[in-house]
Amino acid sequence: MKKDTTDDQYKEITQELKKEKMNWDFEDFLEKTKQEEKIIPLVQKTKGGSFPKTFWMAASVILLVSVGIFHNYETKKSVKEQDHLVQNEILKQKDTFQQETQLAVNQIDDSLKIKSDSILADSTSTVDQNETDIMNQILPKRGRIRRDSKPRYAKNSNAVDNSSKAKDSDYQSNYVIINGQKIESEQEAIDLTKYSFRILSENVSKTVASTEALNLNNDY
Amino acid sequence: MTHEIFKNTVFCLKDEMYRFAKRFVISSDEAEDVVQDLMMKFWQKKEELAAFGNLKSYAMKSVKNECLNRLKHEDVKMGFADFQKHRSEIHEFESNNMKDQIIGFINALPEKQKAVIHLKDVEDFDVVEIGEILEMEQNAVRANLMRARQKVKEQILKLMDFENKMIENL
Repeated sequence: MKKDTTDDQYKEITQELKKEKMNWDFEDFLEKTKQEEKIIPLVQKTKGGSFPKTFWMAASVILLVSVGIFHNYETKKSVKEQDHLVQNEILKQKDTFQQETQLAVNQIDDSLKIKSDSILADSTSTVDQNETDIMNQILPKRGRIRRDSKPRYAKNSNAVDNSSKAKDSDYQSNYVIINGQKIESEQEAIDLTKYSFRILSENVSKTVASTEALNLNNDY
Repeated sequence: MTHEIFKNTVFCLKDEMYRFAKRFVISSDEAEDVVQDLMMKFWQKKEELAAFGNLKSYAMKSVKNECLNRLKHEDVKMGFADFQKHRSEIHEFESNNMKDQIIGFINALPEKQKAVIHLKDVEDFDVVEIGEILEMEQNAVRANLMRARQKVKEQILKLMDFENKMIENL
């Protein structure tokens, strides 16, 4: 019984649902379609830009291209300038370096001067002469001949130049170094030497006195 | 396609389309919007429509797709929770008598079952046509129809029992 009633009710309701209609006439629909058609041309966009739009676009493109070309040219120019600058810098540095090297050579010359001034005078020529004389006396004739044969060395132009420079440079005794101090005036040098001799004599007299005292003690 | 032919072949489907749309979007205004939009689209493509064999099935399929699209957008706009609340409010508003109760039961069904039960029991489509409209196998249509009817009838029975108890208590 219940199932039949529910089925009936269900069918009734579905039939009622089927009767439900949309309130819309075909005339209204046609009017709406006409409205849409009227709107469509307004919405439609013209293909391609208008004249001023294209003109400004073309002008802006030309401007951009010209700016790009100018910039490119400027950068190329600057590269050349940079090259020149770098070259100049290198040349300057080269000059300064050369000057520095010359200074170094002068220093070396100074040391050489001092050596030549020294009493020992370890110049190779005198030492060699002495050695050869002694060797001539000691060695037999055959060995002497062999000894006389000059050794051949590879040429070293820089070394030769340095030695020649050292020989050519004149010694100038403008100053004297005493106890690591550079003294240029003669009077000052004499005073210093006198002072040092006095100290030396004092020290010697002291030591002599002390030794005498010791000897006396020993005698006792 | 002339105006007269369009009216007799396509525009005459507006009521069926409206009822079917209402099953999905619930609101009658929204259903009307769906039908109007679709009719405008059909009008713009009226020359191509002549090539279609079964216009009725095509129209109903279009309604289903349009409604599902709108529901998706609605979900995004309102959020799922708000949408459910909105639906329940409509349901409460409509559930004043037995007819509205049963419509509420049908609307509460899952999408496929709801569409199948509507097309079969309200619009009298056969299973083949329903399968074509909803893009489903015939067996699936039958299964969904059976489950939908069972659920609705169970709920009607429960409602009737409740009403009888209420009357007995009085």
